[in-house]
Amino acid sequence: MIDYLLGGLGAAFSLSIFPVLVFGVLGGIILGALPGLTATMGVAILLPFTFGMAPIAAMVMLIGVYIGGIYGGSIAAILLKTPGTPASAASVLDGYALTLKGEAARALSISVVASFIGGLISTIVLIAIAPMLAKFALRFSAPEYFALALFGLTIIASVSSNNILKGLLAGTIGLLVSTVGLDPITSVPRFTFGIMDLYNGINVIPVLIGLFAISEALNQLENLNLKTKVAEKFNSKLMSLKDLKNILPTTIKSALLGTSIGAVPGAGADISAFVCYNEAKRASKNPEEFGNGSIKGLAAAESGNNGVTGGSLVPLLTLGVPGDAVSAVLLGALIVQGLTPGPLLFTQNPEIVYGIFSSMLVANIVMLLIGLFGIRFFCQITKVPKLLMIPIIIFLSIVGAYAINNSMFDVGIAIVFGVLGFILGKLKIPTSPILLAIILGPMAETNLRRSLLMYDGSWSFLYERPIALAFIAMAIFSLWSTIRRNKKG
Amino acid sequence: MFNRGVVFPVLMIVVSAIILAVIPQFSVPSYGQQDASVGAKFFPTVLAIAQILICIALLIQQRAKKIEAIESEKIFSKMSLFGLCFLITYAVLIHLLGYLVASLIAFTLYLAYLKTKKPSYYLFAYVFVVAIYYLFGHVFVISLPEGVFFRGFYD
Repeated sequence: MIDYLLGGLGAAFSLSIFPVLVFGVLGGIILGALPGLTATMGVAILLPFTFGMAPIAAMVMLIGVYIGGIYGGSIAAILLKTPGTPASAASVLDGYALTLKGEAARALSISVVASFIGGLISTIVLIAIAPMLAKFALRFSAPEYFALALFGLTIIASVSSNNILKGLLAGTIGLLVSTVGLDPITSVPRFTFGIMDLYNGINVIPVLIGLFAISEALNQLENLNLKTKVAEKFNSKLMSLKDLKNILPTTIKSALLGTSIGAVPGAGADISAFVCYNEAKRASKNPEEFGNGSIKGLAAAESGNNGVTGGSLVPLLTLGVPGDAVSAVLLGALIVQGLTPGPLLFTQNPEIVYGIFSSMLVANIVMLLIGLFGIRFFCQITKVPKLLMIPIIIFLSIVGAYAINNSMFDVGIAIVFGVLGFILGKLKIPTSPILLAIILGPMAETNLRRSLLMYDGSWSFLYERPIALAFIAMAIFSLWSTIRRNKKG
Repeated sequence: MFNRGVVFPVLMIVVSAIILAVIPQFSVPSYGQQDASVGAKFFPTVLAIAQILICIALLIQQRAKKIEAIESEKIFSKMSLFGLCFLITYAVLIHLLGYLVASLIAFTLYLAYLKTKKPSYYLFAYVFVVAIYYLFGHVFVISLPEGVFFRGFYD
């Protein structure tokens, strides 16, 4: 194994592959930073470029795009309160608060270092225990997925600790939105009112763009003073060693949690970021700092979403089962190259497998370097006058919402949710539970109903299956600790 | 003047009631309901009822805490209304004229409305619009709205 890994590292640093890797990571960061363009879309967009490449070079580039894309989303989230990807939605909560304090450079450096640690640990875990993790993930069936979604939904209470009722209201709005479209089990149209565009349901990306970016643009317009800049105070200091010490335990924990979540088919970087954020808040001695510029909160979300990068490749490489959308595109890339993912790949093409592993290690290092050296450049965004920044946010939002499906309908959705987010902000109702509920709602509903089908209408799956029971216990514990914390507060 | 803390929960109760009225109209699959205990109506019904209960709890909370009855600040100020109109106008323009022309016009209108006289701002705006057009259209080959009137023009 070591020989193959060293061979892979040699290949990753070779003159023919290294530039491709750098291009992939850089392209991923740029694509990820643009609202509406997800890491999945980035990998899909650059897929045709790989058709003429050798298998290792092709996979190295796509892995680079994947890793860069997940990190890139946080740049716009931190600087503009506009998450580039759903995976970076949790980074808005504390990242943007730090930018408002004039600490954008510190936030970006924490983000890239946490992403690096998350990605690195995830890759090491992938190399070390991929087959074992795959076996565990394979034990997940509908009841476990339902319990996981339920656990994820308890985060709503945590992110709305100022007024849990308002958070729950936002959560039910999101869950109701997630029921629009064809019913996942019987394909009965629900709340479609004969509108064809609604049959596929409401896409999460225009919702995200609306809730975070457009509503923020409206907020900024309201407070527009022609002479003010986005950040009046700006501190170019990066994170300190003390910061690193502070975030390291949370970052490592989130990386491991993110890797495990990534290994579970169907649970992606967006869910992981919120779960890790919630866990960091729950475990923190100062949970009140979360949402107000907590470096641990930012690190947990970033490490958690990049932790998924390695985990999501576990079922893909070991079983040939894509765990999420990016893995599905990567599966396509492998097939285009004439390779069949699964256990045989390890024996028939070990150089490809370990080439991928090695390139992930190198891609994380490249991401760290580009991220750190790029901070000065990225931070220039905060110096752009607010007057110009507002239309920039609006244009990127509209174009991003359109680009997902080439649909003006999605643009309309983004505007509607932008206005909704703006109004909810005035009513002090948190908007992140809506997004969380739209992501987790379909997973919860589909798997609850599948579980009931499996158990002939009995709810006994909630306590008969150990993994599901563990998740439910964690959900109850999470709720209990939030309520207890609120009472103390 | 009205109390937002009361109006919004009441509005959401009305919305939930409408949802509850719409749910029975969901069609039933012709092959019959597979899972008799939990069908397509179950989840939305539970959520709508939960939403009503949460709103009632919010109203009780509002009353118990005697939160300020009247909030004078309007939800939409003049500038946020302008922002909303700008958004909608831009969406319509982009649909009719495509990304490039619509964005150039919209940015100019925006700067003109805010009485900006700095030429550098206009220059920045045009460079930004063209840069995004080039990045999306030519580097990443992602199609941007072409507009009803300019279909095929950007090819």
